[in-house]
Amino acid sequence: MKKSPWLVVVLCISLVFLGYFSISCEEATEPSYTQFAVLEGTPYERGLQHGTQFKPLIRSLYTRLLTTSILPYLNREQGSIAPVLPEYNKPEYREGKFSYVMVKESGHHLYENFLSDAQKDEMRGIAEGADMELDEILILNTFFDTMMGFRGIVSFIQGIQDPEIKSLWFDTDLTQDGFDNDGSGIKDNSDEGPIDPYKTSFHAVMVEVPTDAPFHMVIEDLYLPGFACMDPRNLTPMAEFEIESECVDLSCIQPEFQNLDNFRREHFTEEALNSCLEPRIGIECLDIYCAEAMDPGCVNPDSIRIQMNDTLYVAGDDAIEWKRLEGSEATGDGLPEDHPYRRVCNYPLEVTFFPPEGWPEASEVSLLIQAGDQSPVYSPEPYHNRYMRDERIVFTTKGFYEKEGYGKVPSEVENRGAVDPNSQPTSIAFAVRNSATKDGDPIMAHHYALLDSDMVHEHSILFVHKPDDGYPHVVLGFAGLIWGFAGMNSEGLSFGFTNSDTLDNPLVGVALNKIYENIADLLENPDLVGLSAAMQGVKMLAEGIPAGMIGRDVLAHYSTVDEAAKYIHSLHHSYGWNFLLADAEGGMVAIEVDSAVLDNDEHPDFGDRDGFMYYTPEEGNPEDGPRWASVGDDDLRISSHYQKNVVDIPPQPIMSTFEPPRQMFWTGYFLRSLRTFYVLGDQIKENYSNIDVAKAIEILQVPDLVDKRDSMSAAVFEPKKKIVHWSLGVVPASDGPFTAFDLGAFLEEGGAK
Amino acid sequence: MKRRTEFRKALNLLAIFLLSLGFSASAWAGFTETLPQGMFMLDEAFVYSYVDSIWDNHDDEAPILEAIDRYEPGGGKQGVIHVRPKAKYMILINKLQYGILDDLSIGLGIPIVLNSEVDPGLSWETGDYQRQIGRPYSEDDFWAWAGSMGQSKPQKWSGNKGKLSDIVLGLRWQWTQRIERFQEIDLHSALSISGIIPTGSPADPEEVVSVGTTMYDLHTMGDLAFHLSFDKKFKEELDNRLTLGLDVFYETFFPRERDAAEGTKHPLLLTQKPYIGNTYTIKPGDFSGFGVQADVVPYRGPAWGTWLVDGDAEKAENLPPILTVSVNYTFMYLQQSDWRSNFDQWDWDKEKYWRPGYKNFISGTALFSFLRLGAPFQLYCNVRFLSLIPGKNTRAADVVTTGIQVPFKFW
Repeated sequence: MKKSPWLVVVLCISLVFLGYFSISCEEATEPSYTQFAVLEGTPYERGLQHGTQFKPLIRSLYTRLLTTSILPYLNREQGSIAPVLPEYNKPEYREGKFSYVMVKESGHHLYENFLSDAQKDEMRGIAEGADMELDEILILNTFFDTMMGFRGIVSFIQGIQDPEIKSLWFDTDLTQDGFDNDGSGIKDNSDEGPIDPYKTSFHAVMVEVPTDAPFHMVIEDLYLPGFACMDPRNLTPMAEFEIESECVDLSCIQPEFQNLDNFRREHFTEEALNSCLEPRIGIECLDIYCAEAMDPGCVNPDSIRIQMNDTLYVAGDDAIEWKRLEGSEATGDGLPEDHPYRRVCNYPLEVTFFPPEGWPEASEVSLLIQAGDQSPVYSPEPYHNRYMRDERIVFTTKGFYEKEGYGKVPSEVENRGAVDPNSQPTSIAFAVRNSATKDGDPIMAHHYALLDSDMVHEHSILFVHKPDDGYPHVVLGFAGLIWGFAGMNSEGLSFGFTNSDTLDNPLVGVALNKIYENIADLLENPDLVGLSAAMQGVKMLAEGIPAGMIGRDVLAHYSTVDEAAKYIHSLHHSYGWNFLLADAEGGMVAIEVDSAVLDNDEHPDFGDRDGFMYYTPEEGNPEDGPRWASVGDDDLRISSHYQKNVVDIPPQPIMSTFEPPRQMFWTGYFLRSLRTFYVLGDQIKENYSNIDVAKAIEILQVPDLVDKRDSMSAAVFEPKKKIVHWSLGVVPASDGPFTAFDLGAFLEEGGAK
Repeated sequence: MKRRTEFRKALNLLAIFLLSLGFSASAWAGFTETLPQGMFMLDEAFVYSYVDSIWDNHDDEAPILEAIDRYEPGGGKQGVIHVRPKAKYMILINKLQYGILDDLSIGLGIPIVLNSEVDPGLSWETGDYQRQIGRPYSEDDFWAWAGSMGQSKPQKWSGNKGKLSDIVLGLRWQWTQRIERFQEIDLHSALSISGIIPTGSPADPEEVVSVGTTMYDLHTMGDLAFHLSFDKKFKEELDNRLTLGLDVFYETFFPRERDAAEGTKHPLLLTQKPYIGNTYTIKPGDFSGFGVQADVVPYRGPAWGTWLVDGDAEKAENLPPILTVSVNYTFMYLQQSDWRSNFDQWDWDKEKYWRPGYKNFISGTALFSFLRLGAPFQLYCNVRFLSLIPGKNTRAADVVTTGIQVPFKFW
């Protein structure tokens, strides 16, 4: 029989395709970004298990969060820090090593003076398991506390050079309307209206403003004689990286270049260069008038932006007018008229704002105000001017009180403002029980948001610790960290914390002590040069137990909120934090801490004598009655500002310009947090008596409460049932899915790994 | 007569190695030809390839890299970096083939990269208003910001000048040549095997945009390739003006080790060694599929009695036509590529671009043969498109090839 060649062809093709199908590989799938781990034994053993199990994740988090993100980001601030803290001009901090050495030194300081043996052992175990240096694990575990204090100092130094609103008023007569419009305590007093000096407030600045009354404010840019280290690029006119010879003391220039018209960095003597970080040069080398040009104290009228509720107005719109207050006292007077760098704009700016259609009737109006100066700032890049913190002002218009039934005085109207698409809500936590919950059982919810950098969420782990000498507990944590932002233990005690910016922190404390030591010299030289001289030898070192580690200790050793609160009270704190605790019996407490770096006994009114403030739902603000942070008897909440510890750092008037302000006056978080806090209160109130786990999750997911960019972890705890509903590994974490983990049942079943 | 046939066969054989190298025209005169015993064929080709897009996991055209959302730590969206890399290759391919037997030929291909260029094609979409600088970040603002952290803006990259790619060795056996029944029906089949000698260089791991010179970088053929091909000619019916071909193939890659980036040039973008390990392994997904081809002779041209045919014009009639046009369609299935490092998540970041998919090649070739006119060479031009018909999880590269072929024999 003759075989058909076509049969052979078909056979061959079939064989090839058979081969292909049999070898075909499976499609890759996205790995899970959340892990679960049970760690058992001594702290070292648990650390070792952690390090061994998650070695690549730990190394990734260290590299991607610190080496390639936070550390280079903080390095940018060396130029702002080193002129004030000259220690950071030294060679060991140069060539990109500033932030690494700074956080390492701070970590060592904590390690040697504050951390417990258990904490040290656990970190040592992680380092060994992950095959990393202990220094690296120490930095990973402590940089957060150091960074928060560092941020505070940088914000403060920058803030004192930013423009600020000095006063505001409405162009109308409020002395006959029957209201205490400005909250002075006196109805229709003779100077009803002007807010001078203006200070940020929890509440409205004014009530019952006529709808045809234009808004006025005076914005001033503080003039400060220059830094000890000048960036010559900040001087104008100049070529890039060059400075005009008339600005320079020739003794700082190498002899062979002294006849040039412009100098570059390489023309300076070695001594002149070594005193400051590149590209800066010492102020002693500069003509003072040239130096002053770097921060000329000029508010830039073109920079004015005002967002009224949800409508943005910018300079140039008819709604915004401005004029310089010629004739008012000008800072920096006395410069020669013909000097090329004479500052000609050093007067405060009066800005008038009035929307084309007038203010809406019987309404709450929010103004978000932005303004910058004309200081040329080249470093850190990109080039920019100095801009003040977004300031939010709230007021009500005529008829509001009659319509709404509240708002007779400013303190009755919250400063919550409208949604601002450019800022995100802050971290929150809330606890509810009894009448607030569906079944009367306590529930605590927590959502932390600060810094995801588009990668931290990929390193999240739910850790179950089974220590040899403490309560088993669960922590929503991250690879390489011995702590997390929230957790619950086998007794049902639940813990969560948020950051609450304060200058009452150890990094500022050491500086303040130096200032007091050198107060006489500073009074003679009340500028940044004098400040720099006083700060010789000062380093930024965190002190206290890092907040997250406090959480671990609380969960390992305490079962009720009262015990935990006592423990937290006994500690020295590394920064400003808000803690929320709830237990199985329905106990709940909010705690606000700072580092109490100054002697606060002189300010008994505020009670912050040891950096610890404590309140429960029942406790009210003795000043004006409302509860600190509750809408009823069975709820409590925190966000990222102080409700009770309002005067977090006592007044230091002797320090004048350099007086560290209260939280509410400097941090960009304050107004964001305030709005978040009020929105959260609304949600709790709206759902009172109906809150269960599903509802608590729903509340965490309310868009106005969700930071969509930097959300890091979210959880709902059931302290009585000992169940945690957790969400990690996605951004925002609150979007879930939430996974239930029954700690009680897990432990009853033996808690196998 | 035999000599003419051999000569023609020799010319036809060019297709074998053009196909196996994957750079240029697939066979323009069938898939199955072998060189006559003792015959050499030199082929010099210049290849220009260009790619600026991929076919993604949904069969949609997309940039080679995803846009990158950038956020100011705690300060809102800085903006979006759109990345639209454009890569160009210029390659000189030197090929030499030899007929061991009439039905068994070997070939050697030595590709040399003349130049490679990659333009990262960065552009910027403005993000949120940034309070601290009083404006949203412009592109310059962003790169100034990144520069202050030690990360410069990736620039256009050019390199690989004169670098050797992987050398290709091939073997073809036309197993039907000795079976009379196949000859009777003018159906031919060949089994081809080719493999590479790994002489190419991988891309510089420290460069954000750069390319290597290995066959894997070129993504054109496997380390080891098996082809089973069939050609049906129509000598009687169509006066040999049409050849229809079918080629089925399986090409496999071996795992290869690569160095991880330390971040010496791009510290913020390419510091991976600490967590993925000093090296990682890639096992590229294997290729399999089929190609169909039609070779048409629209113009046979005059046959002159030149020195090539000892002045015999009749003999010249048997030399290749002056113009042969070929069209080819190839479907190539791509298996999942597998990255293996110490870090699963990084592996996924790579693997997601190389999930199972397919390529749809369309190519056309014009061959100008001057043998009938007494000139001992042929010129060809081939264009090959991957951008015309949607594919999946593959780069949509287009290639233009021009070359010259010279047959010769020493004994």
